[in-house]
Amino acid sequence: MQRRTEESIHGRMAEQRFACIREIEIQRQRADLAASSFRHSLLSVRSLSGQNLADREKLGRLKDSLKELEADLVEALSVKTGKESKSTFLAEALSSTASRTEQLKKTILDLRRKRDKHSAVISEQLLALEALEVKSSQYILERQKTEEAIEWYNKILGFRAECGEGVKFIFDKIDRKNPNEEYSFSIRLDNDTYNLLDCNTILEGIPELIMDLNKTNGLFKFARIMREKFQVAASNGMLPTSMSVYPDSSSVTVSSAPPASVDSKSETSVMKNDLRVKVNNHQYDPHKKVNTGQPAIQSPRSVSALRRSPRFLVMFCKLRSQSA
Amino acid sequence: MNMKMNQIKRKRMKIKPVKNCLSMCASVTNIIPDFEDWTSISGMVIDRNKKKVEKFEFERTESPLNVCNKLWKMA
Repeated sequence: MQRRTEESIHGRMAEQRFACIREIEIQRQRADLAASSFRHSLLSVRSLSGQNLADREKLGRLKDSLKELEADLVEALSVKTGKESKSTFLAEALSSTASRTEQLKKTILDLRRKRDKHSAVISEQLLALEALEVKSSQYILERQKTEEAIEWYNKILGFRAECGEGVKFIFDKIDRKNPNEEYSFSIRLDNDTYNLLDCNTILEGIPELIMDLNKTNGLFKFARIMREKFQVAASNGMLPTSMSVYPDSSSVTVSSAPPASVDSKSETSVMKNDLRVKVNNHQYDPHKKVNTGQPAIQSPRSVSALRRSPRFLVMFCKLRSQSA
Repeated sequence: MNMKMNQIKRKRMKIKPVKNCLSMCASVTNIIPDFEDWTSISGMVIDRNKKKVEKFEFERTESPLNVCNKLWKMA
């Protein structure tokens, strides 16, 4: 029985051994599987670890890069901020520049308008100046021609008139022997009365002539008669003297004014009754110093005697222009 | 411009006595010369009363004294 018990125990033990062996086998297989799995896992983990390490390195590099980028970003942000402020400043400057430009445009327009206006004024002034230049040259030409004409009278007719204290009539070509000898007399109109200021030759009948002149106002005829008298005197061998030989001109006076201007050839228009002539005849002494009895400075009226025949001047100018 | 105008005025003022002088010459002599004629001494003697114009012409070779006296006689 014991045996049997032993055998059953042995049997059970064998069964259990088998079971254990099978279990061990299973467990071994499991362990192998687990080991291989572990090895696989380990490999995987290793590769993952390697990957992880690589990733960590990459991460580190990325972090560095990120830091750099962050620094760049900060820098960029600061640049951006700077640029923004600059942009704001530029925008403000642009705005002010734009307004300034507008203002300048207005100023330019204003200046252009002014320039145009000034140009118009300048062109007007230039035209006026041109006209004045033309006028000036015309005056010069006119004066030149007038002087030429006066020179003609002097050269051809031996006659010239000078204005000063009264009007001085100067004649040459009187004396055939001395054609260059100058015979002259001066006459002045004071208060519508002609006064003979001086005469460089002794002539007869001067007071009568002056009286007649004051009656008729025929100054031009008087001048022609005086020339004839100079010729007569020259033919009698009388030469002109350096000093005046005519006495005090105040001795010949007219109390009333002669009438309006008349031509030397039309003295008949003067009414004799209008004139009261007082003549004090003097014995002429050629060596006696002449007292004109007039102030040295004469009124412009004395020169007005020159202008007694404006119509003649007009006619003269017309004829000259026609002949030109 | 004002300066130029003053110059013109001065010129105008200066020309007046010269014109007066010429007027005097023409009025005394009654002679209007012909300045265009350079070959001879010519012009006109004007008698305003008779409203007559008489022409004259002298050779330049003629004696100036004779010409002068003839012209004064015509005047």
